[in-house]
Amino acid sequence: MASGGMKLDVEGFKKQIEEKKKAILLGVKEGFKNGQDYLENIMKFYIEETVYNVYTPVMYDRTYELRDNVTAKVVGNSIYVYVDSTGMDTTADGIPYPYRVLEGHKVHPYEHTPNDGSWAGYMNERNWVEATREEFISHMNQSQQFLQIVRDSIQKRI
Amino acid sequence: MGDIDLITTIFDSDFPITGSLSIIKEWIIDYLLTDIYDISDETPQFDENYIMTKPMIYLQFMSGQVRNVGIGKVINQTQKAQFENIDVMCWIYVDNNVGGLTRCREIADILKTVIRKNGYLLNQAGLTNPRMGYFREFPKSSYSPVFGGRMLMSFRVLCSYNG
Repeated sequence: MASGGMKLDVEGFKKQIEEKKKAILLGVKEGFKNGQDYLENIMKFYIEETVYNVYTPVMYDRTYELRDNVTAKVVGNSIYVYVDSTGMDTTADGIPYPYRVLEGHKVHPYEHTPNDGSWAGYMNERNWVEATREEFISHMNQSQQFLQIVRDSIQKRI
Repeated sequence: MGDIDLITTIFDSDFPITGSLSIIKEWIIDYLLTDIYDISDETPQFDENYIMTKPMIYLQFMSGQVRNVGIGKVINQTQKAQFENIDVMCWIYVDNNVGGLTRCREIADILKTVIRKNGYLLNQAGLTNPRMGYFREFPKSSYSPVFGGRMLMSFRVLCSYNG
């Protein structure tokens, strides 16, 4: 009697799936790296809008350290977008200047305040982190651009 | 919002940015007449002496990423193509003389509503899967009496070419 049917190489199939999974993960990481500039530019745009464009200072000159130090960095399987405070000037209590804006003069006193003792607008706390993060996330949720960079990188690997 | 008008501007694959901006402009003008609103794709300049006569909508091209169609660029024997995802920031500028934030929110509502109801017109004109994001207000800056809000618009176009 002739034997029929076919033999399924389950082990080989499993191996192939594992290899694809590795390739996809590598593609994702590569996509994150390829998308770093894009993410930094979008974050810079929102920092510009939520921090700088709402106010023109008269009591001090801007350094633009906050905007210029936006960094996107791949760590393990994740990508982080943040402001790198390494090397920034610090306040008397050791806080990088741009972060002082978050909690204002009451928490991190400014060195220079109006001579007449009045309260100037720049001394108020301004939570630019929440505002910027919210806008950045909603942009990412809507726009396909970053996803596309990652998808393309995966496609090249598989 | 009156009758539905088809978009007559034809998408040109060789000019995806200017082509899409022209289509969006034509689409917006159907719902927000230019004798009441200014609609521009040129960066507006405001200073502390700027006097606004009508609300202004400014379309800012943000970025576009290209990607292959399927697994390659070939779509038929004579043509190749790539998709381009485009983001456009839709800025709405007002001041207190032209209705302030109330007017700004009205414009945002109109744009959100028409993209929901008549977004398919953009689809037919070549701007596929059009989406309008959250409306966000921005305050008056210290060097200008102008304020308003912005919304991110995103869509995809197909750029084909002989090859």
